Amino acid sequence: METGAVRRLSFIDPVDLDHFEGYLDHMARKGLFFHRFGPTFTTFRRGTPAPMRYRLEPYGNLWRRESQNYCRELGWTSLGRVGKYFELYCNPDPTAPELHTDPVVRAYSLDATARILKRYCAVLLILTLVFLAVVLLPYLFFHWPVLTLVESPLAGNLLPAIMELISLSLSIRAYAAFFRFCRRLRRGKEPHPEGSWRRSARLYLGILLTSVALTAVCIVQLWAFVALPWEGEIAGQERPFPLLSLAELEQSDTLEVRPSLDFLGDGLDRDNYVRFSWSPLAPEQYETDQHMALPGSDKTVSLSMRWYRLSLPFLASPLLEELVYRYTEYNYFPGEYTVSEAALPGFDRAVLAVDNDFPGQRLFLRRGGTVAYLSYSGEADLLARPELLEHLFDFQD
Amino acid sequence: MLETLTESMLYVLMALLREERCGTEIADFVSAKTGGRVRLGPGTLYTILAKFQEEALIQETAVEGRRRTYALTQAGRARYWDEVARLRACIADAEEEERLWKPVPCAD
Repeated sequence: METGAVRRLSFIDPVDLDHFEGYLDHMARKGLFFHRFGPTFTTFRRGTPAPMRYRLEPYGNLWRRESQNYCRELGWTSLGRVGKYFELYCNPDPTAPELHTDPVVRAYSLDATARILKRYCAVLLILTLVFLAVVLLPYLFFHWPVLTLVESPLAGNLLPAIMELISLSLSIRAYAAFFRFCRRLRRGKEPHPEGSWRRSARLYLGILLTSVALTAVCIVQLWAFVALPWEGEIAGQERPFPLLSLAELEQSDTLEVRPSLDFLGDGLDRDNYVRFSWSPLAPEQYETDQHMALPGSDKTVSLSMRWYRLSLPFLASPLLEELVYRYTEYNYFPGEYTVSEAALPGFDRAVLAVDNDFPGQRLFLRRGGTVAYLSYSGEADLLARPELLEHLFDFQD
Repeated sequence: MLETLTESMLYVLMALLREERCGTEIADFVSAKTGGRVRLGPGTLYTILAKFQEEALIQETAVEGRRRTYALTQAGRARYWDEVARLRACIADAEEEERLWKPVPCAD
């Protein structure tokens, strides 16, 4: 960086004309004089504090030599292009006439820029709608949109969508300020000498900090989605996890684990297994499988569970509905299961599905922000063991 | 489309009423005519000239180096006199009201 040069964040868009001018005027009174504009930083030169007027003019409006000469005669110097649409002029003489002495005429000078900005805003709006459609519309076609959302690492791309909207709001604010300024000029009102730029700057900084925070949250969430999950055999598992013991449900001490075929060749019994997953909307997700049999018997009994603790409890109800539809295939084969609401004290909702052709039960439970689905192939009645179900939902990691 | 003429615009037309002038001559005329009350900043002056050309109220008649000379068109002349007539009618109404106006005694 050049000696005597100072860089500051470019937190006011030049499109926000009067605020940008007011900001530069203020900096000059503090001894920092505009040198160069960049999309991220604006460079100033240190000098003796002095009043200086800065004015933006649409680029090319005063390109003729005659107009340039007249500007110089009145003390107005061009400092070059600022942003896409404007040229910046400055004048150290407080008694010299303004670059524009008629606000209505200044509004006319901004007409061509206004047309360009309107077209740009329309394109921006269309692109944003397309982006939101790409993020949100798939949920209309997913079979299990809530489940997909709950299990997604970035809450179904909602966080990136929010960040996009926040970034868009910065542009919208600047363009809205431009059009508001033009309307004020057309009514013959002089621009504010100070331009109340501080409020604009504070809002920008607030939005910027929010974007940075959300970006950090996204990075942490992606890391957590990859780093936190674990899995392993149920037997000998040291980490705590919610479990409805199959042996307790069958009320049998003699049931023995019946391990699966070792397809992966790693010696792990994946039929008696627990998996933990993490996502922002369901920071605790457990999946357990238990397969057991009486010694010497080929008849096995199994109990599978999916257990979710949600960070947004209002998602628990739609999630339960989806699990019911998913695991009873109710929407495709309504005759395959008998599905009924069960009265179970201590739970917000319990739905029991009984296969009409095979033994076993599927039980769907909700209490607060916790949802569980149990698939049981034995002869016992899950609803007759409410203490086991309560214990399952009382789990705290 | 220009809806109303501001004071600056009217004086620019006035400056071209009797003779052709270039931009800086127009600015000097207006300043002298109004005793410095109306000054045309460079942005205002050249925006007005561009707008008037677009509306065919004035036309460029000569280019000599950096100087571009302008003259009123028929439409410009007509627009000027329309505006003057409007202002005269406004002043006449105001003068009539002034003749009828009697000062109201103050309450205290």
